[in-house]
Amino acid sequence: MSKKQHHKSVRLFIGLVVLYLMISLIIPVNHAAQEAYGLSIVQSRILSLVTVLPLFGIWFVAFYCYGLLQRYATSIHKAKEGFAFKKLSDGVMILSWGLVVQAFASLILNGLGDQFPSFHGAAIVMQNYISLVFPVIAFSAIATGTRNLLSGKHNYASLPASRTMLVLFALIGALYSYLVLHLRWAEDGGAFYLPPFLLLSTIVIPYLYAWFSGLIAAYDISLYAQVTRGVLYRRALRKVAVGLVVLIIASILVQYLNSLILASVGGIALNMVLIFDYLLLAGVGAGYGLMASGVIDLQRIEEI
Amino acid sequence: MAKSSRGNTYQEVVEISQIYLGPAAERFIDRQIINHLGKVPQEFQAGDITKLIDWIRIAVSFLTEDTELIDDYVAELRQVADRTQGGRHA
Repeated sequence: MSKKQHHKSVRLFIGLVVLYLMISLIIPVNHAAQEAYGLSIVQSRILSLVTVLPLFGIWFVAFYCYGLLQRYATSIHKAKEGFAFKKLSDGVMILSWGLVVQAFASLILNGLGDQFPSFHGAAIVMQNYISLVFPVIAFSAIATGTRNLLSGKHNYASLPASRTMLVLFALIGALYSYLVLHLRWAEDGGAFYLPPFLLLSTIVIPYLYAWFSGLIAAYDISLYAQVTRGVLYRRALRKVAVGLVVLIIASILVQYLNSLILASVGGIALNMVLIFDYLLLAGVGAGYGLMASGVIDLQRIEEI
Repeated sequence: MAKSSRGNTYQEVVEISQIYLGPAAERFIDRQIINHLGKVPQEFQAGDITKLIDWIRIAVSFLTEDTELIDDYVAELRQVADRTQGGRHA
């Protein structure tokens, strides 16, 4: 990344943080959450700011990782693995922007939903769809990239590994479907404000597709990191692979839990919500950080 | 004969480098030839290998502190150099 691009990225990051803080101070606090958790207005504001600070750190690490990955992908664009890393880079970019867009959407839509109760259902629906679209596109791109890495190796998941993944995925999918359909089901259309058919076809199935794509990508890059040649190359790639696996799994867990927590405000203890949030955000940040470290090593091999 | 000798030597150097640098090996070797020998890879001669090995040792030492790995890599390259230069003298 050139100095000019670096300065531009830093300015963009600072701009996004300032904009988010301004909007969070303008928008009134969420009364439902405030009453559900027994907080005053000041406590709600402080809690919002405290919760969002780690988020800014995650945004920074995410975009830093994306910048490095994009630079590496550009430097090897003529190589056989160039296409794969371009796709990885695109996927990470979409996930990174997804973090930002979801945060802004959540802030604005929750605020509007709180001020205009008739808009509350639409706000929930819009948040769900906004949260969904980024992982679907991102994990698809990442899976395309990681599968392309393996395509010349003729090494794919073994039968036992495939069966294990299928069983694991079936369990994850079945549990998620059960929880979505039965969690705090209310007469007014449910916590997701969607009829069962639309909920299953436009929320559950796309999420399961995204998560399955993500898990396949995680497996593929782990396999590639094992079978590829080059002691030094493999050491660097292993960091990228582990980072990507951690990022994908943490992102899936964040999406899994957030879509359920969204439907059960007040139903889960506040301290548990915060613990889950911080742990998972730490996981996402660790994934991006480890990937960035691996990409730095890969880039060094291309520059020395 | 010379071209075949250069081609074989270059290929051997790349193949050995792939053990350590994987898919990045050929790009790495080409870069050393261009930047430090002042030649394009197609102009690489078997007689350049000694100088190339010295630059490879320096470059790889920036990538890892594992001296055993660096020594193994260089030793394998020196075997190629000995074979190549021993063949030429013969």
